[in-house]
Amino acid sequence: MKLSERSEVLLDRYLLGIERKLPLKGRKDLSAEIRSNLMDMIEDRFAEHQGMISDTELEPVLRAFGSPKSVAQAYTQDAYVIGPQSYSLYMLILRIVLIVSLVGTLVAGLIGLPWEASGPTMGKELLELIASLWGVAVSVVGSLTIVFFILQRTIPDFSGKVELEFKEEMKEDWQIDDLPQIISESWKVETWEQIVSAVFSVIGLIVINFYLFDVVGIWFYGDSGWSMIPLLTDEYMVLIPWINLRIVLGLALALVLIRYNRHTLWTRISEIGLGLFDITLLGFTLERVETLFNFDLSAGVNTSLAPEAYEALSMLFQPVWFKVFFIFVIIVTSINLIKLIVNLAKAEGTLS
Amino acid sequence: MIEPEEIQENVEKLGSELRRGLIVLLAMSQLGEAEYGYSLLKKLEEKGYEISQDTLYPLLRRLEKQGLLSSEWQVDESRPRRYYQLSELGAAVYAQLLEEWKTQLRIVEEITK
Repeated sequence: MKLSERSEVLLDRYLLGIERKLPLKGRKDLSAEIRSNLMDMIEDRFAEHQGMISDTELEPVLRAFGSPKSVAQAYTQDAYVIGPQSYSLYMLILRIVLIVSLVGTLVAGLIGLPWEASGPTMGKELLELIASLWGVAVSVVGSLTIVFFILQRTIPDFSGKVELEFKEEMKEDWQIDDLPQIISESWKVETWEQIVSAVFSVIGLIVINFYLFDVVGIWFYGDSGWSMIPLLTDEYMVLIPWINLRIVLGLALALVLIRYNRHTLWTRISEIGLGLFDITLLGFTLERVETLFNFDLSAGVNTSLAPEAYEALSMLFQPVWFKVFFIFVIIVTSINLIKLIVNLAKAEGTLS
Repeated sequence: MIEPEEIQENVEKLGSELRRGLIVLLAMSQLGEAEYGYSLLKKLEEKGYEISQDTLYPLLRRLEKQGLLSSEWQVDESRPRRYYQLSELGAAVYAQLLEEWKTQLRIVEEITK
C-alpha cells in the first residue's frame, strides 16, 4: 500500500486540522498516536489495493474516521471555560449584570447628550455612547468569565463534574461523617441576596475602572448646565487596585455561596477576612483623608454655584467631617466583624 | 398497535446504554498482552463487540491516566505504534470487575427467570 503525493498532502492537512484543536499539553504525543491509529485503519482498508491510493480514494476513509473537530473533541472533553453545571448560574448573573449595566450606561449617556447641539457634534456623541456601551459589555463578560474560570480551577467541585458526582454516588463504604450537616437558620444563604451582591460587585468594578473620576463628585445644575466638583484627587489612584481586589474577592465569595446555597466554615472565614480587608482600606483612607479627597471648592464658584450653596458646602467639606464619617463606618464594620467571629466560634465543630 | 420501528428504536437506545457499561471491562479483558489501538478494536470486533474508535482510543488514554494501563511506543515495526497493557493495578482491578460482572449476571438471571 502506498499513498499518492496528493493523498499524502490530504492526510497531513487532515492531521494538522486535528492537531490544532488538541489541548496544548501533550499535543505532539497525542497527535502522533492519532496518526498511528489512522494509518492502521488506512492500511487495513487498502490491504488488497494495488498501486497508489489516490486522494479521492482516501477521502471516504478520513470521513469515516470523523471530522478533525470531533476527533480532537473526543480527547478534550474536560476543556471547559465554564463547566456544564455552573453554566446556568453564569448565564443568570451575566444576563442580569449585562441588562443593568447596559441600561444604566445608556440612560446616563442619553441624559448627558447635548440635545441642542449641531448634527455632527450629536453624531460624535452618539458614536461615543455606542463605544462606551460596547466597552461596558466586554468588561462585564470578561470580568465575570475570569472570576468563574478561576473559581472552577481553584475550588475542586465548583464546576460539578458529572463524572466525579457519579463516582461519589457509587461509593458504597460511606461514613456518617460524609452526610451533610443540618444547616441552622443563621448559616443558610439567601440566593437572591448573593445575586444582588454579585451584580453590584460587577457594576462596582465597571464604575471604579471606567467612570470613577467622572461621576464621583458634587453635581449641581447652573447656567451652563450640569457641572461637577471632583471629590477625589489623583492620589486616590493608589487605592484602586486594592478596591478592585476587594470587589473581586467579594464577587467570588458571592458566587461560591450561590453555587452551594449555604455557608461553610471557609465561607465564614472568608467573610471575616473580607471584613478585615475593609477595615484596613477604611483605616488607610482615614489616615490620608487630606490627600485622597478634594476639599478645594473654588472650581464650583468659577462655574455657577450660588454663593449660599458654596458656603454650605464649604462648611461640610472639612477633613474633620470626613474623618468622623470614616470612623463611624469603621465602627459599624468592626461590630459586624465581631458578630461574624462570635457566630463562627459558636458554630465551631458543627460545620464542615 | 405498537410499531416494530418504535420497539427497535427503544431497544437500540437502551441496548447501547447497556453495552456502554461494558466497554471498560471488555477493553481491559484483552489487554493482558500488549495491544495497539487498532489491533484492540479489531480483536473486540472479531469477538462480536463493536466499538467506535473515537470511544476506544480516548478511553485507553483515560485508563492509562488512571494508572490502570501502561503504555509504550514501539518503533521496531514499519511504523511507530503505541502499545497498551494492563498495569499491576489494572490487572487487580480487572479481576475484581470481572467478578462483579459475574455477580450481576447471576442476579439478572435470577430476577428474570
